[in-house]
Amino acid sequence: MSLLTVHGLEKRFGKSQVLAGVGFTLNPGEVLALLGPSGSGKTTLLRILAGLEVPDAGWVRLGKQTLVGPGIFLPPENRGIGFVFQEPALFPHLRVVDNVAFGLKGRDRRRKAEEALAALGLTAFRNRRPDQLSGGQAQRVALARALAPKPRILLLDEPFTSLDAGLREGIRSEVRAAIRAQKIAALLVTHDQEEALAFADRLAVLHRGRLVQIGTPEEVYHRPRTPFVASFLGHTNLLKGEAHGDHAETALGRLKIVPRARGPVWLSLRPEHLALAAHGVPGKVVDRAFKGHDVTLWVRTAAGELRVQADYRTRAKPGDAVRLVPREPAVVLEGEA
Amino acid sequence: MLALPLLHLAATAADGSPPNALFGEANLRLLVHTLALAGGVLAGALTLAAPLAWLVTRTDLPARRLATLVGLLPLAVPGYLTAYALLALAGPASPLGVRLPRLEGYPGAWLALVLYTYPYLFLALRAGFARLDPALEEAARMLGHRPGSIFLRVVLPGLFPAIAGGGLLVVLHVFADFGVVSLMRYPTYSYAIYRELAGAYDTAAAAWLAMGLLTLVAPVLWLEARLGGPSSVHPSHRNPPRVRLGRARGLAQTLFLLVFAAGPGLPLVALLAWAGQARSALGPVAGALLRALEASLPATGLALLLALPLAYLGVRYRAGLERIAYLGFSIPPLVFGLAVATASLRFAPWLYQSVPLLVLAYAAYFLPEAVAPLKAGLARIPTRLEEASRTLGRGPLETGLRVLLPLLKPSLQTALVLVFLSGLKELPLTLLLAPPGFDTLALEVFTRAEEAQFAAAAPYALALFLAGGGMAGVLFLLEGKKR
Repeated sequence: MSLLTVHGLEKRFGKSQVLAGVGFTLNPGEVLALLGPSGSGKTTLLRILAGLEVPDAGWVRLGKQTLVGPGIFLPPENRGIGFVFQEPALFPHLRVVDNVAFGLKGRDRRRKAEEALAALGLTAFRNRRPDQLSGGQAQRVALARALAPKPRILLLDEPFTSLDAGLREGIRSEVRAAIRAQKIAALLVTHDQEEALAFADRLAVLHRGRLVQIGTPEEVYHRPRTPFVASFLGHTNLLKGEAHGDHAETALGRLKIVPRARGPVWLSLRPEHLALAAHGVPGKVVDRAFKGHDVTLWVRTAAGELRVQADYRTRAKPGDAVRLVPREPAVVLEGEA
Repeated sequence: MLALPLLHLAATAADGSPPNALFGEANLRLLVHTLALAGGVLAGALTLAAPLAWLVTRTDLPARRLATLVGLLPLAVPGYLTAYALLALAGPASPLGVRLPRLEGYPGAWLALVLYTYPYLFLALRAGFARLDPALEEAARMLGHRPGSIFLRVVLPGLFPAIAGGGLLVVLHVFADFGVVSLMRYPTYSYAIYRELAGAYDTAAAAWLAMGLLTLVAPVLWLEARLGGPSSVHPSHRNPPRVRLGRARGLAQTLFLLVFAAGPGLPLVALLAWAGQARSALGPVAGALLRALEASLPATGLALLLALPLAYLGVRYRAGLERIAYLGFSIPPLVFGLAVATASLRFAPWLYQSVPLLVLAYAAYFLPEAVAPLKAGLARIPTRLEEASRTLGRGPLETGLRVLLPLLKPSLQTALVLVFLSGLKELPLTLLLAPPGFDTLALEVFTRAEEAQFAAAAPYALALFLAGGGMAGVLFLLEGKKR
């Protein structure tokens, strides 16, 4: 039984269709990342789940309770959903501990707030005012505040983007631990693909208000469904080809493909799935970027300019003649070529 | 609350036939007087306010906060008090011992009104200078312009909205002013309306004159809306460089000293001098103060209560609802008072000349002074905080009480002081609407000064002056704490 069910959500702002029939489910204990370029509708979707926005059509169910649907609207304060905003949004007139206690009711609210602070290692800051916290501390307090009332679902709207890289990794693992400890599910909106790949159990890619693909990070990365997903999640080379079952004829010659297909197709070949070799398709290096752990080369071939992830020891430089071989089958994408 | 009395006033005017004089020479003279005074005061106030605003925002003038306070202090001193002081100092029995030329008519009204209204332009220009993006001036300089050309082509156009906004307030105040022109015997529309009412009890004639004054307000509002141009796009948030005054520093300080001497200093000297001669006991003054409080305190509470939802809707939903409140402010108080009086006589005679009606009129009329700071305060509170509160299980009402209200505290304090101060020194509404014998400090000062009983007016005026100055001081301290 899934914890959260979202079906057919539609939302328009004036003339622009922000969400066009979005549906998915979220399981208990799961972290789902919503990934998409800016303006794809990620934040709107999250705000609809929280009750901060009302959809034009569709419904959302949490367990057996309908949060929003035809003729039904449960206000945000009655949903039991936690929300962490992009900016911490701490109440400036309240101390850290009072911020965390804000969503708690009953006589033991103070004790619960202290527990929530302790769980994130924030006890030392309990008496500070929000303007006396650093960005990372403030965001952790916001997380503690959202977790304290023990929500059934935690919604995270790009909460890590304003933090620097080191801090981001730390707070990410804290979120993971907290989600596991409270046995709740989380939905994370991000436009950072690395964050989505590393943090989520599953990821959903939104494009122009539609959910174009949902699956485990490995599935979505290695088997992208559309040219958009293939090029948005990591880098890729798109090729045209004529498919004949398990292989296709392309400008790079005969390539193995997955899944089986027939007729004209678009193929995706990741840069790390191409290698320099003594034999193979001839090409000429046009540019080179040293990345530390490896080297990216742009190679002009009969199939156009291809991006190749080469070994860090490679000596190839612009102007050199090289040969390329594919190391994995190319992925067949949806849509006519 | 605003529209009903005015509609009724228009109906009253339509009922009675227009007085013969309406389109005659006398009316034309009123029109010329009103416009001449408004234009002259605007020019004078601008000449005074612009250098002061520039000095406190763009130069290394020492003690700039104190200088700002000096520039704003006249706001707390009602115009009729300045007029009273000018008359009292120049009269034959002047306590100064020297015979000053008696200021009356246009020069007297002009001087009193310039000294009273220039702070509005000072305030607007100070904000205008602060809002001017220094990067624009630097860009103009890099494009080869000299300082003079930069001032004309970049700074001045950038200040236009401020000049238009502040100028609007000055002109509206001149239109609305009635205390100063009455004391200085310079007949303008407001003065004539009062004469018709107080002298001839001719409501219809007064209503016709009020309509005439209202038709003057409309083009001024239109002009202000046209001049309030676009503000800077993508402003940089750096502080502008300050001009080193060098030897001119002493000159600048002298200017502020002079302004202080003329603004609040002059009335204070006159008051203290005359108060010495007064035989009035403390009792009547305390009574007048209590009556002023009895009307202005509840009015302040009511105005805040009304302003909160208006400001909230205006900021969060951009419905422009709060503009209705501003519209009220552009109606001269004498016209508004007349409208409320005639409407209450017609629809609710039991309310006529009662304290509750006076409180209602105060609250409606001073609503903008409460809405403006609340709006500014609300605009600074991110919507996120309200949303965070909702997702933490607090409903709209609880969110308002536990998140918005505490954060709005400084704005509420400012609004409270502004409205209370306005109510305390209010004259025309009180004159028309107060119950017989309900003499507030303002009424005591005005009626005695009108009869040239300067000594008798002094204790009341002193009390008013001190109360106003005290409230202005409180406001100043609040402003300082916010930063």
